[in-house]
Amino acid sequence: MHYPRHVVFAAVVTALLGASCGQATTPSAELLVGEVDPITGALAAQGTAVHEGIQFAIDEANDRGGVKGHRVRLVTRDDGGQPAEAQTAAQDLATREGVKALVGGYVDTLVGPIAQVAEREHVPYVASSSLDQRLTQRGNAYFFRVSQLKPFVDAMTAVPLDLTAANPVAILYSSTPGATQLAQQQKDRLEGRGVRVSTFDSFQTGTPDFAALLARVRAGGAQLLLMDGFFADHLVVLRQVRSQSGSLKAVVGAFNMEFPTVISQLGSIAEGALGSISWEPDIAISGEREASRAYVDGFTKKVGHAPVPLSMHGYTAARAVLDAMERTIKGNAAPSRDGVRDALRSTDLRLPLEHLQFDERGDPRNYQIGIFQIQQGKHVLIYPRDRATGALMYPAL
Amino acid sequence: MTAVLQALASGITLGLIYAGLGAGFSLVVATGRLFNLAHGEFVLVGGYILYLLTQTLGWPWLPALAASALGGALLGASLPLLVRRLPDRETGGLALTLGIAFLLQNFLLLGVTANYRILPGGYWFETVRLGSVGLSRAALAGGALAAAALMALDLWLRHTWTGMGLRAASQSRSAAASLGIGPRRMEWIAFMLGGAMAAGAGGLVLLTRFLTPGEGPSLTLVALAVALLARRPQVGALLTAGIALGLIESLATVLLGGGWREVVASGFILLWLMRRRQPVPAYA
Repeated sequence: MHYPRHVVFAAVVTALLGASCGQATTPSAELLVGEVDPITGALAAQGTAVHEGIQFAIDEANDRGGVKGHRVRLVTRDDGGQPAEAQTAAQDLATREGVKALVGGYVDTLVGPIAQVAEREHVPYVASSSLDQRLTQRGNAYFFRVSQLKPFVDAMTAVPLDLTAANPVAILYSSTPGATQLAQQQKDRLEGRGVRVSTFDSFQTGTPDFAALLARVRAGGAQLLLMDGFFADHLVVLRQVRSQSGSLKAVVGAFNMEFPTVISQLGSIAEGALGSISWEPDIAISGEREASRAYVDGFTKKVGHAPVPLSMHGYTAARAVLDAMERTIKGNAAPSRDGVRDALRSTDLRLPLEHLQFDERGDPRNYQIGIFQIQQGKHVLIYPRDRATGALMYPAL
Repeated sequence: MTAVLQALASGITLGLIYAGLGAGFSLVVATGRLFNLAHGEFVLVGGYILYLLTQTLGWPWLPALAASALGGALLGASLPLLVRRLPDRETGGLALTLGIAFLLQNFLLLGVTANYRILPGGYWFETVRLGSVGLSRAALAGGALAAAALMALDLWLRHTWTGMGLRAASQSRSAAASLGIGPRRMEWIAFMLGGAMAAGAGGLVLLTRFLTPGEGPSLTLVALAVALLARRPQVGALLTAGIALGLIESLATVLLGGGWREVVASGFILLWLMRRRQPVPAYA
């Protein structure tokens, strides 16, 4: 049976129109952004903080009328702190929900599986908290992040090298990929500059008792402890270190030491502790100060409490995705995932956390870290020196 | 040498706290034939009640501890209602208590948020020196409290009619019933007591660590390890199991390094289980 030519032509045109309509959206169509974070489980405090920052960025965009007229909807999945859950959640967001991009993630054991899905499913992913150098070195074209390892190494080793002349130094590190790499690079840097590393030991985050590890630190005669651990680890170490300080004069915490709860919950025990920091309401190491104030005001009004630094990391990652989508949308056409990825490569945003530009591997070019010390219940920035708001109190134990 | 002495002292205090965490779990396994995977969440509920009463409402510690134990007892009392509906308690109980654990964890997240709760510094965190060894008052008090609670439980089990009935029902329900001891009543008592002890152990966690809703599973694992090592909920066995675990973890850390802590402790538990003859914890 043969159809008349004009019928075939009409059918083809209809099919093509239908197909092209599938690629376009009306101005009111929603743009989906997927988020995977540990909202429950042992990392719930950190994951919730990241989520609040992402949600605030999305709300802020929608309050301004959306992205070129499109409302943005955040689809959040909880990985419970489990890598397998993170992978499943990312897969679900990429395939079933059809999100245009992924954001979020806390610690590399959870970020790594999401990055694998991003590469496989060709979804751009901007990680809010990731340090593992292998993730950007392996050439994943869909992976970007707003933090990186080197500034942590620079800032934390500056404490013994530039600020205190402490020697020997002990390094304890959580067995996560990022913390392990951080510790190894700290050790290499210190030994290269003639500082002896008397104890170099790993632990599982969540270890209930650090007394034995601190006994090793004490036996090694260390003057300074670089503690490459997380919030829960700092809480236990700061309580136990005073009974086993020996020659130890100060503790520098790598991650989460800046959480306000360290001061509010530990009280006098936290006094003198040092920690790394990228941003907090009164400290902007490399970001825009005016934008920082506006962010704090807006966030506090919307969420009901002041933002913590991890919220800023979530906010920054989400802003990168929103900006890339905005630059990708042409007319009514919805942004393609590859279009968003390409736009992310040319990101140039001046944000409270940093001047965000990604290098060819997806690492941020301008991310910086400072060192603060808790003095009289407040954070005093002591490094970098040109931004310092006070002097180091040393010995601090 | 100082490091080893410090590890021994820390290991013993840690082990006493481990024994305290395992006591309620072991009691429920022995009498109720249930591996309560929500045990860690029961501990956390007790810890949060204690934190709220002492740190927010300013209650003295002893009445707050009693209120916390009461909360745990009520939680424990809810278990028999659910467990008795299961056709197969041993396997169905695992799924049931895992579900309860998830529910409690999410209720805690909604009620108290993911923020960490910890006792502020002060008197309890000052160091007590014993020669070259230093321990905080909190660690010493936690260890002493755990040991005292275990001894009180043991005395109660040995010297009261209810305690002896509970032990009898644990060994043989039918034999106990023939002597006029109601196994169902004994089970209620065991679950309530187990819940109360778990909630009381929340005080030990608060004193020596911190509270956050995600910590439940790791506390359950510690309790499970102690119960399996002890094999029976008796003070000597529980203290030996807890202290052995605490010492092994501490000594492995000092002698081999922090990365070996879990490896050596897990290996020790595996070896211990391979040589045991009794299938689940029970009264001898």
